[in-house]
Amino acid sequence: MSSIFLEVKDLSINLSGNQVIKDMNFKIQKNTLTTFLGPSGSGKTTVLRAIAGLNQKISGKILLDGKEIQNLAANQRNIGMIFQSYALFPNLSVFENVAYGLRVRKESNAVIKEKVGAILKTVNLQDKEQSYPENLSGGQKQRVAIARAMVLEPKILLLDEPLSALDAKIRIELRNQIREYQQRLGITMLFVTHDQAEAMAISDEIIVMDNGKVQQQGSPLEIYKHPQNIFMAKFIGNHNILEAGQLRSLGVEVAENDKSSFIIRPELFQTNITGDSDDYIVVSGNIKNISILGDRIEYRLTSDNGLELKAEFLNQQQTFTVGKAVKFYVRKGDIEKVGF
Amino acid sequence: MATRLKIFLPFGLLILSVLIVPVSVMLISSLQNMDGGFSFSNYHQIFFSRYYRGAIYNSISISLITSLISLVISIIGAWALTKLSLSTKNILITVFNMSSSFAGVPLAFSLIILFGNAGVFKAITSTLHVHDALNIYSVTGMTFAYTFFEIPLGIMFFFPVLDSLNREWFEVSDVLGASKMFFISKVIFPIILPNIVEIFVLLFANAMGTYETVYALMGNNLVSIPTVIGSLINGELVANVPLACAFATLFTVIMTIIVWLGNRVTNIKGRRIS
Amino acid sequence: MEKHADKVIAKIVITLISVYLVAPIIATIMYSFAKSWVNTILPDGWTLEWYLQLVTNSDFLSALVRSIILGIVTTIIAMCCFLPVVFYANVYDESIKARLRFITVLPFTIPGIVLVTGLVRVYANLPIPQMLVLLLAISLLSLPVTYQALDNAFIAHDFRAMFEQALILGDSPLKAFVKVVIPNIRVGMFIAMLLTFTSAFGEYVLTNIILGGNYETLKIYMYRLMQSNGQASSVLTTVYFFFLAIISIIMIAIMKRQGNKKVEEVGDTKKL
Repeated sequence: MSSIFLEVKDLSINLSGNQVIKDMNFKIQKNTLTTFLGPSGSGKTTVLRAIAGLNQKISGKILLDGKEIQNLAANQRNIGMIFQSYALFPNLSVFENVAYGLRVRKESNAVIKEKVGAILKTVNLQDKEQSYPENLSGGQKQRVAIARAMVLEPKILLLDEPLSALDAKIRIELRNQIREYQQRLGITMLFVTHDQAEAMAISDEIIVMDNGKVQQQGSPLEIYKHPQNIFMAKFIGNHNILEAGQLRSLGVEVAENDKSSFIIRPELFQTNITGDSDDYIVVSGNIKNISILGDRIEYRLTSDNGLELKAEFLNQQQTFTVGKAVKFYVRKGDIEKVGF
Repeated sequence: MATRLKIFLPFGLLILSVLIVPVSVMLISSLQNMDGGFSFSNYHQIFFSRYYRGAIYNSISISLITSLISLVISIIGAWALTKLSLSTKNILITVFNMSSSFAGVPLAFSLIILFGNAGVFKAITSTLHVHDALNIYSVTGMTFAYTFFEIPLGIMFFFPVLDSLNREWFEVSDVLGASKMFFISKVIFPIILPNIVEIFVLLFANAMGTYETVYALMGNNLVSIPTVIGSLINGELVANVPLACAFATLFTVIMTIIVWLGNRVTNIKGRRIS
Repeated sequence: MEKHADKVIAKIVITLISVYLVAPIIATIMYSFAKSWVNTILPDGWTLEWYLQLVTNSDFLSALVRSIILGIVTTIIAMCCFLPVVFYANVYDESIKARLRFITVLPFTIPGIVLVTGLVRVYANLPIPQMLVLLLAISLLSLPVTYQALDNAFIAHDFRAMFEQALILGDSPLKAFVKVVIPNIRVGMFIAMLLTFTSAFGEYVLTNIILGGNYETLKIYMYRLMQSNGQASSVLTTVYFFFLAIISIIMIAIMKRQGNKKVEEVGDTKKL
């Protein structure tokens, strides 16, 4: 069993009179990459800053590696942090930026040279040592920032939307690199993002936040397959969300007094039945709209009884045209019930 | 909390010692008579003396006219400036910046050379046998003199406003087939109207507070609010600091209200460009 | 076609305005080189003697030194008072800026002549050096200019993140300020100092009224000369004008360099 490394207990934070974080609790395990995911304004960056020691007033406890750190100043916590704007020091070369923390710790020049050289090699910037930040691309700047934080071997590395200022392609490249450094060097990382795909792609564990509260914590798969409430179902994927009555109209038995909602993930529709037809419900309707997503195709259809549904198929089968009457099937067991 | 205190201490002390305390004392003194008792006699004196009313009248009329003229010229000037190439703009902005800081004693002296009794302008007019030309030592002359720093100031306020107008608007309007006048009256004018009001207020306030240029040109011979305050403090008439305080308070109150109103207009419009 | 016509009109307009505004300055410069220029359209002849006379005049030199001292001390006071506040507003708490907005209209609601009334009322009869009152008051009057210039210095980078990053890397707040903030606002600070210096260097109203002419600065000397010796005064005005011009040119050059840099940086982040 892995051990609990960071624990946040009953964290509340007030910012200019508003309680932006309300009695928050969560735990993070060692050497994992955990993502804080949530819409903007949900409070995820605020929590990250509290862990780093950059918020002035918090209540609750923050335990890192078994020690309470909530009363320590930011410069006493041995935590690394990466900012969205990179926060490189424009007056220092790449080498000096990375060496900054080591110089604060008064390491010898030889040690600094060795450590900085090694970490710059890791992030593949060994030939940029003498460059200045203004001459680097966005992706390179962020790699310098990562190196600068990692060279100090912090207990935990906090990343605050580190990729959101970058182009789509670089983002994917860099997020894979971050995941690779994390696994190769065994760093505990806490990563803030508002991008579901990014969170899904790199995390061991995702903590979804909204409105200052944890909505759900779990592995990417768990969160995607079993959203706990309507917010989660809406936020996390492209799911079809149906009320009890709507589901009943598709021929599924739902108790009369059941007020729950149900989700049908669009990729679970099939064009034909495999196995026992009693296990399936049939949705017949007309294709209203087609979006080619590249590897997949999304169809929006209006069912014969007036429901709007989304279905996704791999982009390798027959394609339907707009207006065509179709029958899609979905396994009854794949319909997921969610609370509020 | 301790950090905050340390950071704001020097600033706070400065504001307290040379702004809040003097202005408050000035306010209180304006309500005292020469013996220190409470009275409205200073204000009474200001409003019932022909001389002091004249000062207020002169200040307001000079400032109003000079700032209106300067407003119009500086809108045209700022518009023209946006049409020029970048390097010319930079040079001209330097020129305007300098001529606005040339105000005061140097400007007064220059104007004497040009328009004084033995000046170039007089020489030209007498050669041409034109008489009754501009007399710089008069209310009209002052109105004229103020334009030398009000116009560059106005251009420097207006230039960023006009420069930041979205070029696409002009193109969209062209595509939609609107005439230039239609576009200016329906789109540009409403957008910059709050800025025009705000800049007019600033130009007016700046003219109202002008002391150095007037004093250097005419000493205390031109009766305006600032020169009256100056002579009341310096004792060139009869030193009467409480009366000076009343004048200064009146000035501050009126200007604060006007600037505040100007800001309100700008904010209500809510489409401020700066 | 219309575009072209616009440009021609713009050029004419700007030329007329510039000629109008520059005419007094040109006249002063011409006057300073003129042998004599009374009641004539052009001067009678040219000479440098007024310049020699002024430069060798000890009154001029001591007035110059006094103005420079005033400028330097005011700049130091203004920096000490305003830099921490502007830093705090930009790095810790942006909401303070809204509360500091009153500063920008200060010179319009409380011009020098009004402020000096209150100052004389409070401090004239107190046993404190009037020089101190003057220095503090000039610092206050320079506040809008200094504040704006310093605030602009913080635009270029995300100083909040940089400062916090330095703390996380182990520095104390003071060290972070010295090592990370100061080096990256030095150009903006320089401009702010230059502007503050200029406004103090050319101050007249406060100096004249508070110190009553006992401390003859360049401007006061200029006023005195104006009453007695036109030619000498025109030389002084010309010198003063060139001083302003040089400072303006330095600032434009610096801002231009900064501007180019910023454009490059924006290009960089887009380029990746």
